[in-house]
Amino acid sequence: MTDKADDSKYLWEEKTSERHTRIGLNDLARSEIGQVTFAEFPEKMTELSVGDPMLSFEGAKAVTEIHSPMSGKVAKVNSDLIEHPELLNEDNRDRTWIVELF
Amino acid sequence: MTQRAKIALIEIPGLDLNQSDLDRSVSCSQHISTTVPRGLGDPHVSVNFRATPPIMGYNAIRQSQGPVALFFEFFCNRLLQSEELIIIRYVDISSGKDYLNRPIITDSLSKFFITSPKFTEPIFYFSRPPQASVVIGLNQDVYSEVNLNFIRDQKIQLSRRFAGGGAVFVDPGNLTYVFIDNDDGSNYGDFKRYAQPVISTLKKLGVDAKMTGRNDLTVDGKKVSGMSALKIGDRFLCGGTLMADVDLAKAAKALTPPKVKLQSKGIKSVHSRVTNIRQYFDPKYKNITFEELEKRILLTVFRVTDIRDVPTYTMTDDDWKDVLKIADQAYTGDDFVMGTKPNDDYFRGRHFDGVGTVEISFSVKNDVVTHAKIYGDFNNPNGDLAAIENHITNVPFAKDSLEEAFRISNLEANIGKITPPDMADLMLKEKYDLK
Repeated sequence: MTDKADDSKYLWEEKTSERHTRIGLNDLARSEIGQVTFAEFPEKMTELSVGDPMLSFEGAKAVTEIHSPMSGKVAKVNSDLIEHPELLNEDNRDRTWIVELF
Repeated sequence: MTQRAKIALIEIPGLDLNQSDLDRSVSCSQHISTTVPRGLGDPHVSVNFRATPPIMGYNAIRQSQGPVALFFEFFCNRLLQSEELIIIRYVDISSGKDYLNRPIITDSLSKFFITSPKFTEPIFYFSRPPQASVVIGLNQDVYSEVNLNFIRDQKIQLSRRFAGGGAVFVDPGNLTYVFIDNDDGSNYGDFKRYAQPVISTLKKLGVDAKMTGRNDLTVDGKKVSGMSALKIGDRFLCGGTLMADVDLAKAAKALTPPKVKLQSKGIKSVHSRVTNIRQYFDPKYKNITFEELEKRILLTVFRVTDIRDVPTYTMTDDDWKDVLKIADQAYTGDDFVMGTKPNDDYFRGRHFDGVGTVEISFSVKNDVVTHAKIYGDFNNPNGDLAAIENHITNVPFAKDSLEEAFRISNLEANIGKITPPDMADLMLKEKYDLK
């Protein structure tokens, strides 16, 4: 997945009740990245196009960034991931979502 | 009761009723208009609950529904159209002097009159704080509104009311008049209606007081009385506070409102916009006592010439127990009054006409809002501010993202009529800085 702009196979997408789309890492991504120890959002991320980086991180097996599978404005980012990058190892969509687009 | 019925009768020419008919039909007066003022600050609250009143005490008289009574009620309902203030009973609260030392009791008292099944008719009462206190609105930041050092030094009490509105200073120099009435679809929020008896009493004392804005009484452009309203279920309070001998210097030092509110009204300071009404009284009334003032207002409210004709109910020990119960249940200690001191990067606020002042204390890290807390003197007791705060947390600090966050926050239900772009602006623009 490393340098590819199309990361859709590594991501889940889910509609929220406000009709926003939440995006997060799926099992395949977690298995390829390994234990995550650091995560960072790009600066001034207010809008994303397909292929734009939306999170960079350091995992046990890979140091890389993940790219948006869709275009949209950023409604929310999950800032908890900065303080607690280990959350990304969990399979809990309510806690491990990365961005919410509208 | 009879008194009230007589008043209603005058309005219905050609209707021949005997006294028992009148007594039976007293319930109609409940549907007639009403007027009432109360405390200070700003208005409009509604909470979702209303006890179903069992018939008891003097309300028992409202039970019967003979054909004449129904007929009479029909006419009364027609009368409703006229914007007349008809109050059934004066409640004398002087038996609770000791309790009223706690400002929270004043608040609980009004809640008692609105929700207690013992009271279902329009009523009227006065209250005068035995000592100085500052009362802040439900959603206000006490640290920015009040000079805490000063009030501690001066032994001024601090309290927070259950309703929204702004911070006020009250002391024995002001007289609060309160009407409790039932919502008939047009009377709630009609401050003018409930201020009328006070305005006309003042006129007789030589003061030309005018209703200014939505809920202030002014003389010579200076505020001498503020009004507010609180609604619970279908019953509400509307009242005002008349400043006669208030220690204005203390009030000015105790209250430290963020500049935004005053700017919105084009005034320099709290001190310059409020004043005591006594100086405007006709020379022969200059030394009028509060008791005399109360008496004159009562005569006007009840449209009688002899104070003995005012139907009066005196608060009983049981009534006071109920009031204390309300205070104990609602009052959650110092945290409720003090809140948490905001410790954010930004504190911005703006006055919105028809809503009040809205302030947001918030922090931004890496261009993302990391914490937000909303304050203000808007009066919307059912508003869920935490829901809005949640929606704007973790949102990029940028126009489109913030507007979207406010769009899904149901601003109208939770604060008032404010648009998402206005709220986004408030957070983004330096000109709204209050720090």
